[in-house]
Amino acid sequence: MQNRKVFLFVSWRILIGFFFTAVGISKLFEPTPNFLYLVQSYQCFPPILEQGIALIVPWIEFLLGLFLLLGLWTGQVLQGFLILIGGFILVLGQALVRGLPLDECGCFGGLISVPISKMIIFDIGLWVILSILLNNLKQTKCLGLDQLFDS
Amino acid sequence: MEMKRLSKPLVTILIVCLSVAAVIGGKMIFAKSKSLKVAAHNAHSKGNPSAPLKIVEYIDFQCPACAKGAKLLREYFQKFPDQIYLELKYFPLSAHRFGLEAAKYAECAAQQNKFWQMHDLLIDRQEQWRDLSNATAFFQIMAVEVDLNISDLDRCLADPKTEKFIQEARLDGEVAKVSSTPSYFVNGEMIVGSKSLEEYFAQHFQSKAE
Repeated sequence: MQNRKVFLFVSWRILIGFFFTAVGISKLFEPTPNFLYLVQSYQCFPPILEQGIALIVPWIEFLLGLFLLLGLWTGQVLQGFLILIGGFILVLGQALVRGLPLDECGCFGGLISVPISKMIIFDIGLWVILSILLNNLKQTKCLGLDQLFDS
Repeated sequence: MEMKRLSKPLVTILIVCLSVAAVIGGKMIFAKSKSLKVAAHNAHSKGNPSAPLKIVEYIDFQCPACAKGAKLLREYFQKFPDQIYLELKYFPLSAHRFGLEAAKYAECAAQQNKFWQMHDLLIDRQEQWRDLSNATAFFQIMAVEVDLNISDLDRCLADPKTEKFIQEARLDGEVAKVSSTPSYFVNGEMIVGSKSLEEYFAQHFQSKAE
């Protein structure tokens, strides 16, 4: 039972880590103006912040994803993801409430195209899974680099 | 134990440096392997060819932001007629069901030397046709208003070369990493969306005035 739980948590950690690493790389390899345009289309940030978000968010996704994949600073990375995805949920939510004319959320760079109504459900699900991983940190850290340093 | 505590931040820094270097290096190699130069063929142009601002625009006639951008460009063309040279290329998005059809009407108008008249009508009346269930009748009325020869127009619309021309322009855009409309290349610098273009113009023409 315990082994099955560890397998499940580690699998989720690696899967989510890999996913965000790929999403981050996809956005980083796109020209920044493409992502800036998506950030602008949510109409909820001042221009300077929009440019900052377009530059920084892909790097945050990439590095947090990589660290989660490797299992390094797992607890802090999970907390970072909860804040990041919480922010995504708020931004998507306000776009839905205001009825902004967005064909798709632009959340995955050029990888996948998802409408915002579906994306918000995906993000809420992801937020719940990450919370579970954080609450079971000891099992989540298994097979990660943290084990080499924290033991 | 002490050694282990010391090495975790070092390993972290090493991983961050290596991954950042890998991404930056990869981006540089990728950029070199793919020519980001915007091809000048398959475009319709207007303005002063020796103007200091050379703009290549990728447009989908059904996209609201494209209409906003086109009106902004028209405004700046009126204010600074010798300062801007525009090359317009089609980039119909699959999400817009009339994007390709509108582009075909514009291209067929171009064959009768009335591209910009049709372009302006498509843009100015976009709100009236973009939500229709079938926009063909609306496009036909605009074609009559622009005084197009209707039998030539119908022949052109049915000609597969017309769509091929539009799709080639779109392909040029994809090579230049265009994924949204409107996308502009202002003297080679990529700008996406009318808001960013407005900010660029405000900055450029303000600094010129000073």
